[in-house]
Amino acid sequence: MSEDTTHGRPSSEIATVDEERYPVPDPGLEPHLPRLTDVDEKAADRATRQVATFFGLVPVLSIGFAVVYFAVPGDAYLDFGPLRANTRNLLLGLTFGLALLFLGVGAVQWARKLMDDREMIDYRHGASSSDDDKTYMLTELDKAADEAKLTRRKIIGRTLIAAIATILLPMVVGLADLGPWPTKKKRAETIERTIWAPGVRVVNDVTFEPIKPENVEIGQLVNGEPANLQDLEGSEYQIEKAKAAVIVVRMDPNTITIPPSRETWQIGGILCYSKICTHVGCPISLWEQQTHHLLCPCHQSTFDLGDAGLVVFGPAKRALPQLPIAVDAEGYIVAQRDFLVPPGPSFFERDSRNDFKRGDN
Amino acid sequence: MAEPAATINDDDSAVRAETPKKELGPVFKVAAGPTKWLDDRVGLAGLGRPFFRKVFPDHWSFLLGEIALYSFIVLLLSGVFLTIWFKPSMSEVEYQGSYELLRGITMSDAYASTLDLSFDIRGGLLLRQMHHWAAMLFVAAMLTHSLRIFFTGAFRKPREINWLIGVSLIGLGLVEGFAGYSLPDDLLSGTGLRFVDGLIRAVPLIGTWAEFFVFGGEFPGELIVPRLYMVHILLLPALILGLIAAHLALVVYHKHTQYPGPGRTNGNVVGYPVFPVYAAKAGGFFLIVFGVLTLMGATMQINPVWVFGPYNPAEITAGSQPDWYMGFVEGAIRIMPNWEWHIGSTTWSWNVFLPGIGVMTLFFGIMAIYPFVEAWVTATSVSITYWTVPATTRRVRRSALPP
Repeated sequence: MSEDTTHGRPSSEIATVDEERYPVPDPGLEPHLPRLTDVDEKAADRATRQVATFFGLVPVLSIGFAVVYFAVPGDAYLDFGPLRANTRNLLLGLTFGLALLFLGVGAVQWARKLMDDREMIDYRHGASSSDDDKTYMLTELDKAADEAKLTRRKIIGRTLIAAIATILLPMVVGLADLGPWPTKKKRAETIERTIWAPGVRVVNDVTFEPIKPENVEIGQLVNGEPANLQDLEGSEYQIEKAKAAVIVVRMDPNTITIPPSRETWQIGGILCYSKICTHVGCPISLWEQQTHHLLCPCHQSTFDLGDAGLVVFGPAKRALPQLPIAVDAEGYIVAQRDFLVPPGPSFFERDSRNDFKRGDN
Repeated sequence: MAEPAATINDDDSAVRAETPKKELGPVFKVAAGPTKWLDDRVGLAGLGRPFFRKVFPDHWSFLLGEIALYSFIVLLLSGVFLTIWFKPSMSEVEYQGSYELLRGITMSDAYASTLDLSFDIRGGLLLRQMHHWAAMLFVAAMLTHSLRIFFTGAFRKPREINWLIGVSLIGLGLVEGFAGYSLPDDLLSGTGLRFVDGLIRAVPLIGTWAEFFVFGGEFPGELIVPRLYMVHILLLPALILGLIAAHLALVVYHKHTQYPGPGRTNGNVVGYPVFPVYAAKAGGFFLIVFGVLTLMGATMQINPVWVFGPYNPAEITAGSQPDWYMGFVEGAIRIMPNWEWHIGSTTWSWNVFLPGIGVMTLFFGIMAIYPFVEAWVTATSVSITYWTVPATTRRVRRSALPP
């Protein structure tokens, strides 16, 4: 392997002989075998043509991209059996993508077939610095500390450390206004209440039409919102919607369990529950009519609406909060009051002693 | 009588005199002026000399890290294009773009501008899809690259710091990806944010405070998209870029690991030089990765946000789930038993906190400490430069290697 080119010098720090690992002496690098393109001029010419063709197609495709950009309308579509593609998107991507690909393939082919492929050797060095460097640094560091008078006037060093540590304080304090502070009062105004109030109508969440009990059939589920949600706008609307969303279901009163304390919360088998999962807050809406189960599509928590909204499966712990409902003078379903417990996922300061638990009445 | 010593004829001056100085090609002639100008100011030749013919070993598995690097570059390029039109705002507008099914519907600026990018900006959909595919490839390549590093023992001394940088890059990549697909403010991304809200709340003691600080109040508010935008296009890319630079600098300093073979010892590295072979191969491979991602953006639909509709906190699509690389957390959240403590007036949500934050911490924690645990268990402290298993490193230790 005398003709191998080496780069650098062997390092004395890392031995190159490893006789225990290899009981047979290291035979050294295998001899260099010429490629077909090294010995056959025709093969080399062929490889050259390939590389030049790949490179030569790039300008064609690049210009093609520009043509497509200006010439193809955005509403043209191409059909490929069951698949449909936006013509402009497809052609822009094909021209640009193939141009990039050909440029890359040409370069790699050039390196593989035509560039000199004799391997070279680099010698490794240890990662640590030389003893000379270490000694130099230690001596100079000592000198520098002396020159800075740090060794004599230690108070400077000590106060410096304290100063650097506390300079972070303003940076942290400056972030204290990232959001309102969830104090007890703030929580009571925000995450612990919704806009449901006595007499607020339950309306369809898309059309905002109020709902009459006689229009809800047994087995039917209606996605509802409080009527006063329409008065809100922007982020306030979204925030309240995220908490107040409900589902109104009608079940045959003889097939479900209604706890005595909730006898007056329903209208002849029509019950209203929070739609927000008590696990992490996805809106739950997969309704199994026959079993009265409501499944959350996010993490498969399942609640039994025929049994006070208790969890029957999945990672959620708490029952779905139930909204007490009644009928107003005009015959529409209204809320009797806000939820008794905060709807939605748990948070640390949430008092979960009043949630409905199995065995409660 | 001593044998005659072999003599080396090192006087080749006669030969040298006969060889005419090689005539430089036209490129060199043109470049000579500017190159000299630059060299006079920054010492170009001296800077380039240690790297110009630096040797890298050759193996297909070494390309996995390259794919990660190149897809990150594609992410930067396509991301810059997207920021030109994307509006990171949750202010509400009525959509009037060319996608008829959503025309007249109230939605956030973020979602409306994503629709504009998809339907009205020429090349916008291509770049959006490339960006998302590149994000997938970035994370996938980082994970497979880490498997290569792990199973070839390339995380061992002296490369532990680089392993830690790599673990941080995977963690940042996951968060960056999540922040990215939360930006369009479509139904799916809003559902992801809803989950994160529940996750943050579930942290014992500080959860509610963290929630209010992250969202600027209650979920969803109007700040989370602009805040995530800053995180997604400035904070995390800057961190990732800095860590990648350190990662590569350490690879150069330590030199590449190599597979064992004849002539490949613990003290050398055998392969091709940066110029010309690796410049052509790596440069070409970057363009291949770029090209393949472009073809994927052209032919493979990803995250069709117009199908999901704008975010509505009272709606959800069946089968909502995050991008695949968050699947281990999502799965853990699903199979976790519903453990929740109600102590006094407090709620401890282990059912969300443990699988959500605990599993991620565990995963990255185990990865981070593994090299140190292994070195301790196998009592190894030598520098390893090629493929080894722990049992073998013990034998290497007794050989002529320095500590």
